[in-house]
Amino acid sequence: MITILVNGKPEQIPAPENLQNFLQAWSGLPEHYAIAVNQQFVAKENYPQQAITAGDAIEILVAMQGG
Amino acid sequence: MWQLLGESLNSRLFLGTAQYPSPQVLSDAVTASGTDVITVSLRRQMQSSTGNGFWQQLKTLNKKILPNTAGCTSAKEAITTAQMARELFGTHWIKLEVIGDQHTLQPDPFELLTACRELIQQGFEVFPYCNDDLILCQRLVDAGCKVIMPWGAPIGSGRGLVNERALTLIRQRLPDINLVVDAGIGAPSHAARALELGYDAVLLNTAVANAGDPVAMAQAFKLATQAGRLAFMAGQMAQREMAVASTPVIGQPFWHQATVAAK
Repeated sequence: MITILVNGKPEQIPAPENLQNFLQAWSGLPEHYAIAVNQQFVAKENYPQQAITAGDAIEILVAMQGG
Repeated sequence: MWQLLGESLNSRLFLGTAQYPSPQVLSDAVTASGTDVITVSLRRQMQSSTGNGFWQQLKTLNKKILPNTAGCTSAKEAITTAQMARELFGTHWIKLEVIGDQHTLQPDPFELLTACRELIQQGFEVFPYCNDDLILCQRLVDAGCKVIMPWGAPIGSGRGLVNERALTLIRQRLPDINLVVDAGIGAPSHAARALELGYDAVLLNTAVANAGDPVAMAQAFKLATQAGRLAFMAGQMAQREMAVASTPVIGQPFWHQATVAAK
């Protein structure tokens, strides 16, 4: 198990192979979203190549009202 | 109809989508405003549901989306947010906000320019929210911005065009750039004034969302922007120091002549 931050909250998860594996296993995934890992944008096509390791901070953002 | 970055727009009002009393009021206000462009943001999903009602509402509204980087305080944060917005919303338009002071929400001109240069390199059309400093605006144009969005007053203050002379100067010095007054507009008269000055559009949110009747206020802003633009195109009369009678002097009745003679 490793500990990572998902939208600022610590989560203990089995060590995933990559971001795509993590997202497939994560229950809170919204329908439409964009992702940054450690404050770096990760494009959808790069999810399989994006490694996830202990201490990583994953931001999953959705559309919200704004001015 | 006017052209902005290859898009044909009818309205010169860009409308924010935040702070409305309900989703229905937001939809009704967007419709009443006649806007073609609405602003949105990216945030962490707060509710536990994996659905996103706002996403569905955006699809229904079917307007051009202008995502913002609200809340960012560095070029790095803003660039990451813009990249996420491009993928999520499928647009290379970005309203670039990099805040330098949390009390006034005044933009940080240095971080803004840094982010702007990088994002333009990456193919974005950047709409920078900036202050009314001419040199900053010129530097943003030099960086490749085709639209500049100086503030009228601090975000959400509703104080209108606080430094009208500075805004006028920017219009005069950047005649070929699309200019949008963004932030600080509190009343339709402020929006009309911005258009009278030759600004191409206004961007506002709180003035409509926080109105007693947001839908009616949205319509008021629609009419104000139309009136302001029409006035600009019509050409305002030159101001004078002294009074000049508008009614012809020739043919005045005798009692007026007697009054003049007595003096």
